[in-house]
Amino acid sequence: MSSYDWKRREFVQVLMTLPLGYAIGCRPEPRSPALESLGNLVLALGSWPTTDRDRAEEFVARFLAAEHIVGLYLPESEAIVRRLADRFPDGAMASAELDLSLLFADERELAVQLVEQLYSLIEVRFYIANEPRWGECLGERTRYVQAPG
Amino acid sequence: MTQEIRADYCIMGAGPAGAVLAYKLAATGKQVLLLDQGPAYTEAERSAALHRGVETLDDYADYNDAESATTVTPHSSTEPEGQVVDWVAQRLFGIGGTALHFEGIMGRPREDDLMVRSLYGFGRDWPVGYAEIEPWLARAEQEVGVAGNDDNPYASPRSAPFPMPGHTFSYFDREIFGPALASVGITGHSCARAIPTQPWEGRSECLACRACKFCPSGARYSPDRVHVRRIEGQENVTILPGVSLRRLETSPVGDRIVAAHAVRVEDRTPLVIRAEQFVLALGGVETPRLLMLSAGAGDTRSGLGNAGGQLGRGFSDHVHPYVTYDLGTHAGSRLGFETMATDHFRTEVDRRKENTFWMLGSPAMDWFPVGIEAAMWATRGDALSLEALRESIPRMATLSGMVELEGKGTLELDPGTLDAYGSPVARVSMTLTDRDRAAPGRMGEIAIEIGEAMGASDISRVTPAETGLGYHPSGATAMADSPDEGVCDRDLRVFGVDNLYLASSSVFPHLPANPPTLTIIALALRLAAHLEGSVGQ
Repeated sequence: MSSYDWKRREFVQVLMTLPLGYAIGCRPEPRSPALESLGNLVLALGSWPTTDRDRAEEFVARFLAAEHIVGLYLPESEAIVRRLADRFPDGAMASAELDLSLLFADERELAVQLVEQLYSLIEVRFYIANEPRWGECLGERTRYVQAPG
Repeated sequence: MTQEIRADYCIMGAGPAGAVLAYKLAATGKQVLLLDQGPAYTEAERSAALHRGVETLDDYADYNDAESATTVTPHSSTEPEGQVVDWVAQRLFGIGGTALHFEGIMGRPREDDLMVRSLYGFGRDWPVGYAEIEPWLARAEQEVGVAGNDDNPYASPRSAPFPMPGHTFSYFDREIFGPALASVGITGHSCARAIPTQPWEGRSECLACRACKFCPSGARYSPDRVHVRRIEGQENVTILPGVSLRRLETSPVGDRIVAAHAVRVEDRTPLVIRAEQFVLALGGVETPRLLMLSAGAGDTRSGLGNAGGQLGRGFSDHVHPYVTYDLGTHAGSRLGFETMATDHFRTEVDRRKENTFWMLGSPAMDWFPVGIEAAMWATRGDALSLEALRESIPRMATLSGMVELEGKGTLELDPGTLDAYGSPVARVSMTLTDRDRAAPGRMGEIAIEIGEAMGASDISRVTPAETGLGYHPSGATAMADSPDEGVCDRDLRVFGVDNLYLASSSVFPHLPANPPTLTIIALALRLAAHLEGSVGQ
């Protein structure tokens, strides 16, 4: 193994302090307003363009259901998530910029942590880099030697 | 009711050392028992773990996620000097051991790595020299199917070529990393891996799945898929997963093991194992721990093989610093692992004063969670440009190191923390010396030079600065010429116990900067040759 496990520990620490944890860790049916807002936030801050909404929605469903993220129960995070989500237009995807000066401190902290979390995930990074999905055997082994194009 | 099992050879621990030993000794026709505390993971479970990771967006999903940390993989405890060494995160118990999820890197020690005390005045010398070990390294490369090129100018001599050609350098290594190394006077060379570049003894060549921890193609060496699979079903072989060893019982005078006492993890049924020869292959933490848990009377009152007070002393590991870059240009695709490494800093340092280290670089698209750096670098004032962040992801690369330590740690029992069966867990106390602390900083300086040579626009700090231990525990049952210097002799027989042998990184008197797995397997092959014919004579 390589040094990624150390990063894992750091990363998990980040997740543990993310005040969304309680919301991510449960699986209500139908989605609570907080989860709905969180899903919208992921779409707004994530990397999927509107033309790839189905794929983005599928990701959001898994993100919200991911039970490995066990966080702290912080009731106040629900309000932060909803306030933050309300700052984006309905249906916003792949926003270009986040003006942190417009956000309250708690919103700012949550937004940055969510961005760090999202863009650390292999699936998101592979999507951005137009890489075949992780774990999908390519067979041909020349892709990695070729100049990116 | 206690079940009794008899065997000629009892091999405790089914990681790479135990699996290779069992395979070799099974060929003698004698009764071989191979057991492990963890389960035997099926191919379906392997696949399920990968899919679980994808489904739950857990990039760190692993084989043992559902296992109890206290029942199957006991914690060790340590918190010296403000650092927590979390052994559970890296260790894997089960048929295949930690090599179930390793990266397959097959580095070799250098000749002088085995003589650090006499040549450079630190650490401990190995009682056997490179000339004795090297042929076994070559055989180990054959056993596990290593792909590599003989292009390493820093390596000690080899007696045989690599079994097969190495992986072609990636775009990143060929066009970015290699030239940057060269511009600062460093040679990048092939990174030898137990990942075939061509079909090898029933295994596929690498299919670039980029999920090496689970290796969907079956290319990467994993003991359960290779050596254990070859002996499964043989009449003279018994493989028992889910058996937790509790202690070894010695004869009244303490010079032989008469039984190993164990319990089945599933229902805690007791087992007694009687054998002619016992081999402990439990890895760098559990091997010394079991010798301590087996303390008896007389010379063994502080643990087996501890007449000279050396059991638990000289514990070592690697420090794993890394640095993240924004290259300003696309880093290229990944094969799933690095194709180039450099041993430059294993030779081009003053070893009297400095620790050596090994380095490799890669695009950061696989497992490095670079979102933190990417977000930081995409923030200008109060504006976090998500557009810039997305553009930066394909440009990001990492430089990783593996740093040798002096080996001043200790391993002892922690009576304050018990495992699920009531036995003290291992307490590891790492003591980092000045030279230990200096090495990551040295790598950080080099990282800046290399980053500049690669045209990087941003470079992270060295992370972690001084810690990052936990992958390669070693040294706590060192081989030596006398009990005053170690725990087992040059044949890996525990001092004072005629029929107890060790096969583990715990026998390394000094852990060099290379990953230890190839050396572990080489020593296991050498031990198998020693033990063949030792029963029934």
